[in-house]
Amino acid sequence: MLAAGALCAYVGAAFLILDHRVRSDFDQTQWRLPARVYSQPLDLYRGRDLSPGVLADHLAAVGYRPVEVPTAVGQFARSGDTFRIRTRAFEAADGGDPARRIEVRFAGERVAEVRDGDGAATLARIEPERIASIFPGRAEDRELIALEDAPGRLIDALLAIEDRTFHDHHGIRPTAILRAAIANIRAGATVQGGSTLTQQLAKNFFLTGEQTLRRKFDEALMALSLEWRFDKAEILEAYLNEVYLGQDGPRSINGFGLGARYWFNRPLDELELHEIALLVGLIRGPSYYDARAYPERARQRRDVVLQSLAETGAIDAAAARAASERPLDVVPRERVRLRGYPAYADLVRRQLGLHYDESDLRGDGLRVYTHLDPRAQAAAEEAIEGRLAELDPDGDLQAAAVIADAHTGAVTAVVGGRSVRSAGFNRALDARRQVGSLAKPAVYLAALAQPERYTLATQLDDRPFTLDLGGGESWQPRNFDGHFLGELPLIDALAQSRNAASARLGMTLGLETVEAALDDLGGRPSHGLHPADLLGAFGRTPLEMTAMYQTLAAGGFDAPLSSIAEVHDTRGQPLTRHTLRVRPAAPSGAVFLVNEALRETVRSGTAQALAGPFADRGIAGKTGTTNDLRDSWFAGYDGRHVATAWIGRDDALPAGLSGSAGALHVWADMMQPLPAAPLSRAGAAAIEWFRVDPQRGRRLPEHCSDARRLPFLAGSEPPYDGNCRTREQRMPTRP
Amino acid sequence: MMIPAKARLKLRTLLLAVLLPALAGCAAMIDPEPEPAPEEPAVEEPFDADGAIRHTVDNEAVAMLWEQSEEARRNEEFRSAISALERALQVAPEDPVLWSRLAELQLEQGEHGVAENFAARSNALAEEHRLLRYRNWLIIEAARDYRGDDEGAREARLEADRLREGS
Repeated sequence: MLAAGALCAYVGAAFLILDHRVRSDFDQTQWRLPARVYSQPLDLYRGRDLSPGVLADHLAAVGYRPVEVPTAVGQFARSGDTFRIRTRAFEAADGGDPARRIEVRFAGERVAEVRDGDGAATLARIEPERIASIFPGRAEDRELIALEDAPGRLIDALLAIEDRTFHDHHGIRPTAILRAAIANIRAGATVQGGSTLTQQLAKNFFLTGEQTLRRKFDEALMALSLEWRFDKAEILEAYLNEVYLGQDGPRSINGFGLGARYWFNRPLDELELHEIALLVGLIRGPSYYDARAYPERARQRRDVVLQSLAETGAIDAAAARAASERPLDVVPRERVRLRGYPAYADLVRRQLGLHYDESDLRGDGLRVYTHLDPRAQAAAEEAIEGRLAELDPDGDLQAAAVIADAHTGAVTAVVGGRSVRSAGFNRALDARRQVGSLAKPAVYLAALAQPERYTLATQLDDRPFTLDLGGGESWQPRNFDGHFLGELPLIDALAQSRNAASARLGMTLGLETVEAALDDLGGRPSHGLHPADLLGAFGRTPLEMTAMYQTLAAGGFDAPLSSIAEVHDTRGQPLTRHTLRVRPAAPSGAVFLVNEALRETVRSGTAQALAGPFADRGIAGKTGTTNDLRDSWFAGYDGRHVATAWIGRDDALPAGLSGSAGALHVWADMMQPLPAAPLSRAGAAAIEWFRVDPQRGRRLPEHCSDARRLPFLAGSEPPYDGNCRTREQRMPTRP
Repeated sequence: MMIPAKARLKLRTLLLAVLLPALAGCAAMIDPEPEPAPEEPAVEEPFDADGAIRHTVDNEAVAMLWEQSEEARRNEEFRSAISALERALQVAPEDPVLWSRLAELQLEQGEHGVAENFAARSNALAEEHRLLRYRNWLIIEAARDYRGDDEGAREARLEADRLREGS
């Protein structure tokens, strides 16, 4: 009697402890549905600068299956440069598209035509890629599913093979436990399970994998507690999202949503019977039944699941037989994109927090439509991985990159470090590093906004320059190459990034004037401007520098950098619309002139290395290097994209790279594969081009072929001189 | 935000006067024989005769999206109308007519600040497109008017008048 009482007390105490754990742990992660995050859809229209490879990649990424003849949605047939596609219906920021039949033909790197089922020219889109599932408030990226989204066959198969009495028991099946115990005693070891789904959930969720009697006991108590506190649907949903289905290096594959992606690279709701059966079969031992390593074992296990489905009557024998004749259809590991885009998802999470009410974000199952462009993202990732491996195989250097739409500020790619798919310190958003010469365009913008005083042809003074800072201190800016060039035209002073000339110009204009120009570009330091800030002594993140250069790229119009196109609630209703915003921030005419100087940077200045590869693209850009080569920057743009690349060390020790030796190459690699467009022509109406001799400060006749041809704000050009003869140009030799 | 009915009417009339010739140019890309405009514009002779507004759409996609947007606008689905134009901007980001039309749609949505900025964006791209700039200044005038910025509205009106007189 006493012994029985002690046992009861012990069991009771154990139950209370475990029950407390169940409540605290399980309740916290109670399956609030995460927000689903989507990329841009892929727009297809005649004339689009797009290669067939990009379409093929996108189709693969969203799980379209290549077939001979597309008979169902989500299938496509490719013959040469022609794709016949049965598109899926989808929702998007602007409402989305219905399912359609389309035919897309390419001519080289361009879409030659897009036709609908009736053969009429049309616009079409392929649905966006789901890039992440996030809890807006939490740093977690999992592919969670709701019970009602789980295919019926999946539940059938799961219950048929793992727990046929799931809906009847209270967490444990005493008879099964007894049977297992007897088998175990006979065998002298634990060989038989007999666990209910609830017990398995308890095991997966709370406990380690060791097989002891004590563990089985705890597991059973926890199962009882789970059943006591939660209903069957909640338990089943948690199970679907917790079950262990594979191991990808250090990452364990939990849940059927991720499992479907890991094994088939498709959304769970698209899997067919034989694929569902394979996933369910994996539960017993994902490494033993690994369908890539041991296809035969996996097949046998799959067929057992199919058979057991037929036994329960969920499917008939013919269906089971037909499914067991199918191949495994597991996709090779290298074709699976599992990790999504952590740095981009991080930006989405933060901007959700900034621009939306927390109460709105608490809703279940939000859909977040973003501007992520998988093609731009891939270009940025490959550029960083490739260049960093080459520049620094040992791995001390870090890097970050951001690409955005030049006109709308839509952020299309973010890379937060050289391990491009790893979450962690997001340098694109958080590494606030000295920007060096990336700040200079603000100085020149401030000057060129005063056309009566400054034009691109104004001679600036690049001789040594000492500034008395007071208190016995002085500042003498040095040039990167250690030389001083004397007088040179303003356009060259910026293109060649002359420190002495730029600092002198900034001091002549006045710090407040330059500060105002920096403010116009959205790059003003939080403190008042110091002289050294004229050369970029203040810190900024790659994202912030992209924002500053976006204003230049759009001809003086600021569009806030945004990752989010729109957020819909579960019913497809938009939360507050995140519409396009632009604001005139800097005078378009002066920006046009700065852009011309930054084009000169690429033609003959510090970014000359890009002149060849980008000869026909008319890009503009600026190198940035900080003291002792700690930071290597490049920011640049064409008429479509604005992008920034940064390389440096996390500990801020010298990286040993100038802007032109490091970040410039990353930038070039990521921009090269992207479609090009000519620079903004905003402000062009106020501009006139003239041939000039900057040294004499004279405008020359058009036929003077060796004279410089430069743009001027109308009326600011120098006085005319009919004489072509120019003095010998002092062209500095160093880039 | 409520727009005073009288001001709204005035704006409509003015916009239609300069818009319709522009839109006809755009629609012509899709349909070789465009339907006659459903509403006769309140013609102010000099602009109609000028014919300087030509939305030369050499891009099929932009033309199709423009049509989608117009359709949505006729059905008073302003969100869709805006979305279609934003999509068109992806194709032709510096098309001043698209920016101007977006400005107008935003004005109808009561987004006066956005409307004014879009009109300014259109102006920066419109170069010699005098009538388009005229129209943009009318949008700016209306936007400032609704915001109670009388001085700003007057300045915008002066700009518009200057363009109207062809200077």
